[in-house]
Amino acid sequence: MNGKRVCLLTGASGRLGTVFCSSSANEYEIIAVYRRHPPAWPSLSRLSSSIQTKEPLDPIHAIQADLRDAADQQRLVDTVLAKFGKVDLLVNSAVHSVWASMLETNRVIDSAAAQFQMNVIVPLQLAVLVARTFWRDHTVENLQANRNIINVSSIAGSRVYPNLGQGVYAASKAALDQLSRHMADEFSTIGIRVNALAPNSFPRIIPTPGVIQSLKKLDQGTMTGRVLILDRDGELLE
Amino acid sequence: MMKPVCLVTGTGGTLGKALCRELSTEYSIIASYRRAEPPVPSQLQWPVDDSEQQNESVYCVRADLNRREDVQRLVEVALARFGHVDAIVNLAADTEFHGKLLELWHDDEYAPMQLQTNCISPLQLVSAVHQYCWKDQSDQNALRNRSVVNISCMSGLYVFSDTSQAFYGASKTALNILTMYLSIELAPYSVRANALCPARFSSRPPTGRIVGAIKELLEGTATGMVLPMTS
Repeated sequence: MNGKRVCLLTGASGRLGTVFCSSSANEYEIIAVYRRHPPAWPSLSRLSSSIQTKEPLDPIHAIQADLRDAADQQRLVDTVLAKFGKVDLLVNSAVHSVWASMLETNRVIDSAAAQFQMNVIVPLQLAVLVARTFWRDHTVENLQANRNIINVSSIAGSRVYPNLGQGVYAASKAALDQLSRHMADEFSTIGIRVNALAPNSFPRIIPTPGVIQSLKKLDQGTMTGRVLILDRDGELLE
Repeated sequence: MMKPVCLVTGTGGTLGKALCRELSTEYSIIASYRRAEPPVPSQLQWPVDDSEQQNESVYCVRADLNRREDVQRLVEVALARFGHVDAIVNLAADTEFHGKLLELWHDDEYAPMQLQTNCISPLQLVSAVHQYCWKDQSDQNALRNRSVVNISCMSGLYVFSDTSQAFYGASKTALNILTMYLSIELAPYSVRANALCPARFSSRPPTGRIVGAIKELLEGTATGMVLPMTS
């Protein structure tokens, strides 16, 4: 095995996931978790197959999973550990968002539980599963390898943007921010850092490569328990 | 003008009881409770002594606000009884601390339920009152200074280390930001929304002070505020 960091990435077909996969496969062994469509990437291998690509680009390793399903979470983590033997970085970027008025229609209220589940509970469940299955017994190694979790949040979790209909989505991201702080507190006992990355809208307000850059900075740094806000003016730590 | 109508949830607890007693001189109260009815004079209980003559001011409704149909029924009963709702105080909460995250068991339902009780149910109640009452009454809303007060907690603003309250805290953080977004959405209808965040445990303010702060928010002009409160 080469010395690349192993990154478990959820929401790999999303905007952030797609760009991360296409820009970072030479630095990370990326396990790209998708629900419906695999990320568009020429050197895609299936995680559970032995395909070795001859492409000039390093492969990413795609795996389909419905993260709302506990059995699928377990299959995902077990498969990743069977293939790579470790997880250095968990990026929770899978998201469920429904934007509409909270008062005028029932759309948002009907989707509220699902938004909270995908945006708050699933990131925690996955982190806990990796911790229980692997990290918990490797504290020294975790510290040496600077292992960490990055929960992809949103600036809407700490700033109010009127008239976009993102009240429940924002509330779920606020919960994720606070949960990330608590996770940092508790996961420090096993040598795992936890931070949240809270960008403004990308690529509309900030360029997606900038988000990737901040994500890597969080991975390579030493901070924990922080929410890194990315706005058009730059980064702000909360 | 007839007495303002205040819909209060979570009235079975200490704060709910105190709030019902304090408000019942000036407000007509719909007191929602889940298990134990509030021990205050109401249609369910005769006054216990001559000094408590407010039994017509408090109308108790048993409801499980995690059920959408119960939220609907509560609002319909409130309107049937008093004709309108001027204020909502979302006091009902799941205040359990569920232990260490690293010991989380996957099949436990506590996390989604805590988010439902502390965040989604209050939103459903506000939405239902808006649909039934506030939506087409902007003038009345302004005239009657209608508002929502969500009772949150300091745990939504700060991380208290090593207290096993991660999910409780996260649910209250969500409620805080939800309140701010609600205040924006309700503003065009001249309805205000604020959150009050009392500390718990040793720095918890006395119940009377929390009741006073709720009253101030109901009677003031602030909106979009998330107010921390300690002893």
